[in-house]
Amino acid sequence: MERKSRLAQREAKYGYLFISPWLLGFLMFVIIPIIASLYLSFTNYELFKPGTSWIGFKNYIELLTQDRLFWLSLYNTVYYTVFSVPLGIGVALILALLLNRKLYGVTIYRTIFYLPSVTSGVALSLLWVWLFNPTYGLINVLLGKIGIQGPGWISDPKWAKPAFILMSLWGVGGTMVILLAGLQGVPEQLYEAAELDGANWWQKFRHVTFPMISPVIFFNLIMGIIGAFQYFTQAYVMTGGGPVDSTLFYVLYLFRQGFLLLRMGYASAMAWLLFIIILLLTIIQFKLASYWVYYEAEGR
Amino acid sequence: MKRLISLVVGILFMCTFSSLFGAEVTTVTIWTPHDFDVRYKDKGVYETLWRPFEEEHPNIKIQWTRVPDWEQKFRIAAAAGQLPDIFAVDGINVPAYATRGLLEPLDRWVPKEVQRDYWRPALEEMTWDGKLYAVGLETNAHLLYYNTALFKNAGISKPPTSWEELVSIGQKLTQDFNGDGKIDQFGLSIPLGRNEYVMWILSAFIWANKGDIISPDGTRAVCNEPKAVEAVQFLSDLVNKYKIVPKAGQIQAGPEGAFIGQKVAMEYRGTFSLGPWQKYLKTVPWKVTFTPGAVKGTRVSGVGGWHFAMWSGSKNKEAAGEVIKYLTSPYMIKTLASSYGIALRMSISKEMKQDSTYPWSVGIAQMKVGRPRPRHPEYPTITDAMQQAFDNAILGGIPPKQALDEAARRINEVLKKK
Amino acid sequence: MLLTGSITKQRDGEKELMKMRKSQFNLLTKIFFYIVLSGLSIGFLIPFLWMISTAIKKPEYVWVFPPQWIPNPVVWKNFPEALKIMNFSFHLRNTLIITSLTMLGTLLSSSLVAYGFAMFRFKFREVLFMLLLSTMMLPSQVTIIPLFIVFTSLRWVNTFKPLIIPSFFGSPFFIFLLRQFFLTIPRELNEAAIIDGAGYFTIYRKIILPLSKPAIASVAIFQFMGAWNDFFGPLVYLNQMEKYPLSLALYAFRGVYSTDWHYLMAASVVITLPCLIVFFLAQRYFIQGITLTGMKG
Repeated sequence: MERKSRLAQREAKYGYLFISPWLLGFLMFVIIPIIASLYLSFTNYELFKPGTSWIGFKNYIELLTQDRLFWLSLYNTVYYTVFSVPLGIGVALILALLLNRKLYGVTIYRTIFYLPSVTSGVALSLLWVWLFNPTYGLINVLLGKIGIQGPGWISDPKWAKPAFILMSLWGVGGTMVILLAGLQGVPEQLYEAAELDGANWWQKFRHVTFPMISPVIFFNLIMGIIGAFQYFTQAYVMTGGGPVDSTLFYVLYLFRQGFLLLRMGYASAMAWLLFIIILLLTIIQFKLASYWVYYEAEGR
Repeated sequence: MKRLISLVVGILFMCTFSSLFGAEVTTVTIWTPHDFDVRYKDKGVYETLWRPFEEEHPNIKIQWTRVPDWEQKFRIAAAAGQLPDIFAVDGINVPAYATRGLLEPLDRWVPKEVQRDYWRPALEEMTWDGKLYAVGLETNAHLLYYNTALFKNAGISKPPTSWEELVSIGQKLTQDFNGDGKIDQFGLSIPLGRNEYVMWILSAFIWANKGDIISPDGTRAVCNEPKAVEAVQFLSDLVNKYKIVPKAGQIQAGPEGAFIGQKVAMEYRGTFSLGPWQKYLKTVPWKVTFTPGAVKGTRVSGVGGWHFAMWSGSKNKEAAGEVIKYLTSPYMIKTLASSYGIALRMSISKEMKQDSTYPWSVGIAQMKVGRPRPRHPEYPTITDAMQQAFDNAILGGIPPKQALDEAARRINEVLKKK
Repeated sequence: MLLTGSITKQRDGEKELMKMRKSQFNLLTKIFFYIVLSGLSIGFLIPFLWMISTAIKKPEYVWVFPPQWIPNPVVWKNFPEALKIMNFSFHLRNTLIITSLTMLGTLLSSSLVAYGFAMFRFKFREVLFMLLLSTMMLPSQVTIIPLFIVFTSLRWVNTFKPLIIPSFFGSPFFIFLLRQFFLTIPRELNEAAIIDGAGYFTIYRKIILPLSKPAIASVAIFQFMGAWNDFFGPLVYLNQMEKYPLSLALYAFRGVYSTDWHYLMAASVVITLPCLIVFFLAQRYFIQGITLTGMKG
């Protein structure tokens, strides 16, 4: 009895020791900006203007009751997330499964699919503006060759968000790599055992592959949600929120309020509302995880 | 041990000597988004821009930095109180920054005679509330670029000089060559979407129709009055009724693609392309003319540009002031003009014969009827509201009066706060 | 959820039969895979092909219509010219310093912290882990100004310190990732080692790390790529052009009113190459099928 609690104590002590680098960094670099932004959200802080004062929940109330664009940008963001995250993981998973073999040249294919994640920056975003051109952009030209009249993409309010979702699918290379790494960790013996029991490829996937990589899929799901809700740069560079606010994503609107209209206090309130939303969604996902995520280390 | 002692002695020696000779060198830091390092790559930025100054002022060194993403970096640094001595500022932001105490008045270093030598609309951008807050870096006026080859093909000899002609000529130039139902060539291109460039070009349409955005005394919005509404209706018609303007992106084969790709025959643009587009003359025979006024015989141009300002929190104001003086010098004005177009000071522009050399002459003529965007500390809201109105009216199918009423409401809200 | 099967000598014969059937099937599936993969690859490559095509064009041909895929004339000298204008080798040094140091910091700290969260039970573990994740949920646009002020008071502005030092304190993204991977390692291995008297650190070094090679390689790849292309951090914290890494130096071609597309694309292609090389080389850690010995089931 005593020996167990001593072991448990020792484990706890070492646990804290190992996470101490993060804890220290958190206390030094992270906590001050977080508290500062929370404080600012309750003020009327404007960039460059002296005389910031406490205004309580006014920012929050204005956002929730008077700001049409708050709700619109939230809708745009949820729309984007709901499509891009599952599709992204799905496509990445298919690619990872296809490329998880010792085929000749598989490394080259992996590199090709990963390539989009490697280039970032304005050059590429502007390239996509050209690709999406309804009449002369490559996408519609190719669609035309197989007899489809392509839509207006980023110049059409109805198609602008799908255009961004399509663009995000192009960038699944990173997710694919993580899933590949996860697939590496599935022991060969399990597949062999399954085959001998007469399993076909779907059963193998469902009963061996999926459970074994579920921790990694879970990671991609959480990070996907966190990332998609903060989608900003591409819209900032490519459309500025238009046409007709159809690509005004939440963080883009936040940026506009804080940096362009200088209402930093208001923008901080927006940030904290977003934080609460993402946090709630994440906690829900963690609770649901016990139903489908399998951790070898903890047994099931 | 011996080495350590001689090192210490050496340092002490140098310190005493340098303070004896008062060789106190002040470094003046300058930030711009402008790519001087590329524009002046032949001789190098230092040789071209700063050495003449440093030779005259041995105690002052200039350290210039090009800032890649100006909007974000500038605001973060400013909010944290970490700005350089001199920085570039978009003329539209001068009232906003000046009233918020970010800018140092420059009248000390720039005498009134020199100030009056600047083009009037540029000077308007550089001043606020009777004080000079910035000195010009570059300034631009509006031009109508047109493709003479496409004009010839359609049998048109002269560019439009009124809105009516703009429409009729534009319609002749909007064609579906192969009869497949898709328009292959549009008559006109204007910027559409959500950015300041749209505001710069489209606000001039309101002025061209003798309307305005805010009242001259800056107390109320007038963008929803009949003349302005007419102008925005005209813009919407260009896109939706006469269909001579492609919707944003419809034909833009890239930021410069529409005109340079020869998919539009005319384009509203600034004088800033006169230099960079020289290289395209081989493939696209373009010419420039005035932007037509609503009625034949009238015209107006928007004017805008970036200027050098001094940070009010600078620790080296005297030295920076010397640099400001230098930035107004004929040498600098000429050098910057060689890269960015219009020479900011009228006397220099005359010296460079800009008003008699095509295509600069067209730009100069436009400067003479030019005006800056509304001067007000709450300009950020004004431009956001107007951009939204343009977007909603032209692309969003909302009636111009309604869109502009909304913009007027937003603008009046912030104007009241002052 | 796991199917257990016992591998006995009796079943070896069946294994042989299955192997034969598999090899016939294999040829067809192989061809199928190649076709599908090649088709997708082309789709993925198109933007790059356009980038490269633009990089070797004369500026006045960049926007010519209809678009030229193979330019005429081909201007290879855009590459050396672009690199010279942006002072490539000078800024490469800065990028290398920042990238290598942040990689070191991240690999060291993130894996240790992930190990702590994954393999140890302690009070508040779940809360702290949620706290870790929640630091990623607040948009940086509102934390950047206070953070900048923090670094200003530390006098770290205009140095590489704000870019490098925080990486030695773990990065939530990588901690989460590695924690997920570590949790796929069976607990029995840990417990066996503890019974054998091994210290926690030894377990980390001798058991966890070797079994996590693909995960560590992924972290290395992502951290390299992230640091190599990092734009926002250097933009905010560096004030002198000599300190700019490649990601900022690249903006030399984006003027206020015009962009040198051919140079921009050429330089972008060159800057991308090291990331590809790193990715390619790291692939050898992605060997299929790890067999865990000494395991039951």
